[in-house]
Amino acid sequence: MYAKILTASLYGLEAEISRVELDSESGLPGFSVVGLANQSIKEAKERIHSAVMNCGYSFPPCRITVNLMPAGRRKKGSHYDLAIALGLLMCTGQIPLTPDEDIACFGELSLDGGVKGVEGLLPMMTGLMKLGIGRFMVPAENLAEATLVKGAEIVSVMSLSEAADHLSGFRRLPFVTADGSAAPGGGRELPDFSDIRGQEAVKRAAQLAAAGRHGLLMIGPPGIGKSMVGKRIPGIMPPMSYEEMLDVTRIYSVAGELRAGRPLVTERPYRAPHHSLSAASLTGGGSRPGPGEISLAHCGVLFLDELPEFSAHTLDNLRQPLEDGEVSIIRVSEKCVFPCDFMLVAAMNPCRCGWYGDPVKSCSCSDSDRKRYVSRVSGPLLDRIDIHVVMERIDYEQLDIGGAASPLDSAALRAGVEKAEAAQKERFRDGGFKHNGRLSPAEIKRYCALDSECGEIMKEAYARLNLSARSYHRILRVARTAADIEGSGDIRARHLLEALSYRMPEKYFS
Amino acid sequence: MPEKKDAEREALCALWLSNIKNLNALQKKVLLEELGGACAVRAADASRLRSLFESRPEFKRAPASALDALADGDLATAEKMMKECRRRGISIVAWGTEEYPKRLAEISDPPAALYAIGDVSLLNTPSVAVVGTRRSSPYGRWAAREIGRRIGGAGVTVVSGMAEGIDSMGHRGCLDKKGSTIAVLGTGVDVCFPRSNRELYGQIAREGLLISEFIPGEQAWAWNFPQRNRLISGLSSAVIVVEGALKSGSMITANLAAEQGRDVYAVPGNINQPNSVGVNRLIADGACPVYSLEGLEESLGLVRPGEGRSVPSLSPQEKRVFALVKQEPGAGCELLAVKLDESPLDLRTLLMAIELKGLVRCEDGRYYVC
Repeated sequence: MYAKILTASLYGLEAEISRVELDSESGLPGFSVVGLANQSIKEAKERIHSAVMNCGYSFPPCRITVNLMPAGRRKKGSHYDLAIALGLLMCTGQIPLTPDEDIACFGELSLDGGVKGVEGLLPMMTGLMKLGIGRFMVPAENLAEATLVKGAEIVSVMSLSEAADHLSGFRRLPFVTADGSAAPGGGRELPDFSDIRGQEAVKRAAQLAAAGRHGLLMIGPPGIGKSMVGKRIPGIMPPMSYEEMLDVTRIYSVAGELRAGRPLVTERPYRAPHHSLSAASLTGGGSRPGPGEISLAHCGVLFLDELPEFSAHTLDNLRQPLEDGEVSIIRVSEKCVFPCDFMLVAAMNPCRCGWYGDPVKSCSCSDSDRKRYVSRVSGPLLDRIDIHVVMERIDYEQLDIGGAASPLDSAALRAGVEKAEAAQKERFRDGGFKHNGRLSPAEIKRYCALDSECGEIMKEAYARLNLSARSYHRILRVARTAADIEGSGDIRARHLLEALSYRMPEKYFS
Repeated sequence: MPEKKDAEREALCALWLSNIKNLNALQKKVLLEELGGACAVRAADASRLRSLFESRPEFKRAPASALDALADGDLATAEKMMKECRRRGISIVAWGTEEYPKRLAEISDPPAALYAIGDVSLLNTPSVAVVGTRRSSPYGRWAAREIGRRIGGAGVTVVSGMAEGIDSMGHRGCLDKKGSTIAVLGTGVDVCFPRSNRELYGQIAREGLLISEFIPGEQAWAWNFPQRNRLISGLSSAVIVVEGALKSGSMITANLAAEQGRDVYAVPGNINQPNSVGVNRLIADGACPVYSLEGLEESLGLVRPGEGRSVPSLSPQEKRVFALVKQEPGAGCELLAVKLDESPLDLRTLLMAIELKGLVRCEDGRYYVC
């Protein structure tokens, strides 16, 4: 007998319809899976055998062939288990052949017949919705994630017998129609900028960077709070829109990083990979490409601590994604595009020992040691970082300013960022929204015009500061953001001056 | 042109003399002085040399083979070297010639010949040495550069060793002001060491002077550098030590300078940094402390060109910031903002404005008065 069940296969973030065909015929007992299945699908046989038996059905001794269509595309994932098991029950006549052919089934089986959660459900469901399939059978564990897909009709199952009973009509389960409303956010307490005492200059730089999504590089001695700043940046960015949340959740779903009880990623991601990571884990890769750290930081912050410790090869891979906001990964089997519109925040010590320039502690590096250390960060990457700040260690106790000025907190900084966000949205209200950090030279010309006073400043800066053409663009982008935070339509002298002060310390890097 | 020919002959003999390995610079100087030039040394007969060897205490330890070497007046090697030098644009400055630096001739152990690339006339200009550690702090780098600027700007030649760190900053400061500078190398004059100073090496060759007593092609042997240091102090009327540990090349130079009767200045440093202990010790031992740049200028007798240059107008706020930078050189944005109780945003703007007016300079995120 022949049976057919609908499911999906995932290529990067793109889903395709995948049909599972089963046929049983008399012959030598056997179970073979064809259709370019990977190891996890081939192993399904053993899980299905136990699950079927443990649910009180039988695994008849006949020749069973499973074909995954389209047969020419490679497939992976344990979510095929449920579809194959249901097909097996149908083709061996244990449940009636269902006329309900347009319900897509997902689920991994455990040996006792339970249905477990799967990875990548959200992108598979949204993909199928686009292809006109609107009914889904999903594991109960994934129900919250599945209900994010607006308009989908969902039935959730806990076990293979429930699924079989539903399809056979023996015991129908209720369909839930997802309204696409966000599950309540985790309400996780984000760390606040007021935790950092002092370093107000860096907080301001962080605000500017977050407002225009500029790259930020902090240079300072160890223990000064560079990573504290990095960690607090997602908290001053405006909340994500629902579309953004879905985009991020899709990526996390594919990567298997959705945490239980938190189906929707509602907070901006913060990724701080250790510097030992490989190029492929940064950009994404694998024989079946999966998202890397830059994609997991989509809409959020990618924090690279100890920047010179990253391998040069790894860092060089950042250049193109930083410009394009997406990364395409091409492997033998397929090509995948993952979004990676992240904000780069990096931190480094001023030298190998970390104390170059410290007023009290002495630095044990020679000039060439120092140059060797900083030159590990390639010039082209530095070129893509708009804001450079040098941090200094200050003994606030000694300065006796305790409590005089209230420290900048995240709420105050966020207000500025949101103002700038609105100004930038207004600028691109006709579509093609971009943050200032991504403005192209042509757009800079259009949106960052300088008045005569600023023109004079720029001329003077060229004469004195040895600026390059690239740094010219960097400075204008930052000045644009400084103006946006103030709600000023034009770039004024003070915006330009502030932007100039964040230029790359060329002497340091040369 | 008999004169030119004489000078050439003298240079040739000076090369010959400097190639004699079993005599040291001290002994060679006695010979040059007693006999009156390298040519005369070569021409001197054996009995004259022998009597010198016996009468002067410097030769007590001289090996007997030295006399044989002096007797062998073969110029073939020297001629070959001379030809090679000419081909590569290296000039040779021989002891006793017009170009040979007078101050250097006074020391007890001057080299018989100097190899030079660049403007040889700088050898007899008023000059001051700026030396210090290779492991410099931002403060030391700033001080060296600023001192180099002041000296170079006043038309006095800056002498240093082109090592990384303080030495390079001294040269660069001088070149900033289009002043003239002499780099005394511890390698052959055609060898750039450290390699990272390629650019500076080229610039000094074009705009200043590179000299060395070592034959062209000589590599960077550690033992050559302390020997080279006597030339740095010997060429200068004063030596300024910017930063240096207790045991360092800078201290060797300072001691040599004192022996040669040069003025020694030391820039006081942080007593918590090993690289400042040496200079502070120098002050304790009687070196003249550089208590301010103006004091140094006065003490060296430097005339500032364009005295009373026009000061750009500053707003009251800018004046406040400028005054604090003056008071706290090397402070960064954060410290300045805290001290002035300004928002970091306003402060950055003010600092940038006065930086563009050419009053302060930002280096590695720290601010200094220009």
